Amino acid sequence: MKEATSQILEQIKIVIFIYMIICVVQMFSLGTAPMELLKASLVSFTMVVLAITAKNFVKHPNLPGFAWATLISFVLTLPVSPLSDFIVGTVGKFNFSLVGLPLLAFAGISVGEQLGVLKKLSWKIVLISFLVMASTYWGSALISQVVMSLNGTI
Amino acid sequence: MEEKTSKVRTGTVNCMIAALIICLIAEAIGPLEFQVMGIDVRIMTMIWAIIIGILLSPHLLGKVIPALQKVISKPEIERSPFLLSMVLYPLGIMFGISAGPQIGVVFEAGLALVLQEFGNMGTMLIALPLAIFMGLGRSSVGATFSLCRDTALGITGDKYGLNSDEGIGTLGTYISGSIFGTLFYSFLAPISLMIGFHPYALAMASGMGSASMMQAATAALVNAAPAYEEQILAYSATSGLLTSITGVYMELFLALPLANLMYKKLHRPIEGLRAKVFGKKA
Repeated sequence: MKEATSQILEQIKIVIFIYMIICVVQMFSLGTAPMELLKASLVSFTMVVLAITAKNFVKHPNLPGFAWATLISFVLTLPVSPLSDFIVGTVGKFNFSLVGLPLLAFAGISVGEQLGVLKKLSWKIVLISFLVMASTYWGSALISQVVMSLNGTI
Repeated sequence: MEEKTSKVRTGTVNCMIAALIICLIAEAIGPLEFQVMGIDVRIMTMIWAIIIGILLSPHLLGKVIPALQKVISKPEIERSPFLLSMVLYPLGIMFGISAGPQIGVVFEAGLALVLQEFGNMGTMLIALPLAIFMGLGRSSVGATFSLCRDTALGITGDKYGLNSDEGIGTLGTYISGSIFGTLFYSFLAPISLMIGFHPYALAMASGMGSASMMQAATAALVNAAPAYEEQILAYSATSGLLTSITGVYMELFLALPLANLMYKKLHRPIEGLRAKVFGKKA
């Protein structure tokens, strides 16, 4: 219990800094007003605190943190939710791609660790992994496309 | 204990500063468009962020500029996956608020969204037979039964052990995916759009079991088809959510048994073919 609490606090601290990165980048890139970004951060951050807490305390179902965050903001912004307009109006000021940008920067940095291992990996596995990535993506896209054309969505 | 950890360099601070600078540089460069043999090539901002991050590695730019190694080295690199997982929270919120208000749209597409979950088994039609043909043996099963993210490592590790052939296969796809995944999907999404897939279908396909790959695929898709942004985000969010709830069961009860069955049926004929093509027994 105590350990979980200190873990949650550590994660919350880091998330605060991540919001700072996101805000600075969006101010630089799109010139969004700092006040709007502050409001967006506060509302979004409140939901993240809920998600981090859920992730650390709820073990059944054992969902990844990302899923908890999606689930919580999804439910709170359903049309029946009284908070929906408020949340979308504030957090919606964030640009979707810019929120994901630090993630890709970290993803790039984390590759450094694996570069040494890459040399040991057979080229066959690398090729196969590309096929795995493409075929899972195309497999799903193909099914969606067929179903949606059959029922006339697209 | 507290004092000790505060003195040890955890890499958090440097890694965060590096990420901020990387994002700013990537935004400053912006998208780059040029033509190669008459084909329009567009390098998105997000791709710069990944590439600059990779270049900072002590194995690459760090070798040329030794000072860089003082800022980005082992602690930072080891810390980055954790920091990445923390960005997933604000990002998850973004996905959620795109899907919640659009529940009607999502509901209408419900059938397609649910059925596409089975599309992840597409790996068995293409990747598995080819892996067997390339002589990977039992590793083929481990490498191709799913996208091989953390849950898959758990499953093969549990069932066969990570030192087994199957385990080595899963680890191989896992590592390769960690290195190339985000870059790969950044290019694959616009390419798939070009070869005729509908943006909605690709959005639904984006939730494939890795949040960072999903982010790369979705952001690249939004970038390539900005007019559909709202729906792309809504479909992608729901598909990602569905996969994170059902994924592990699909892998355990459906994908792995199916991969094993396919292997049992296919490995003799394919290995026979391989022996014929290469003129020797694999």
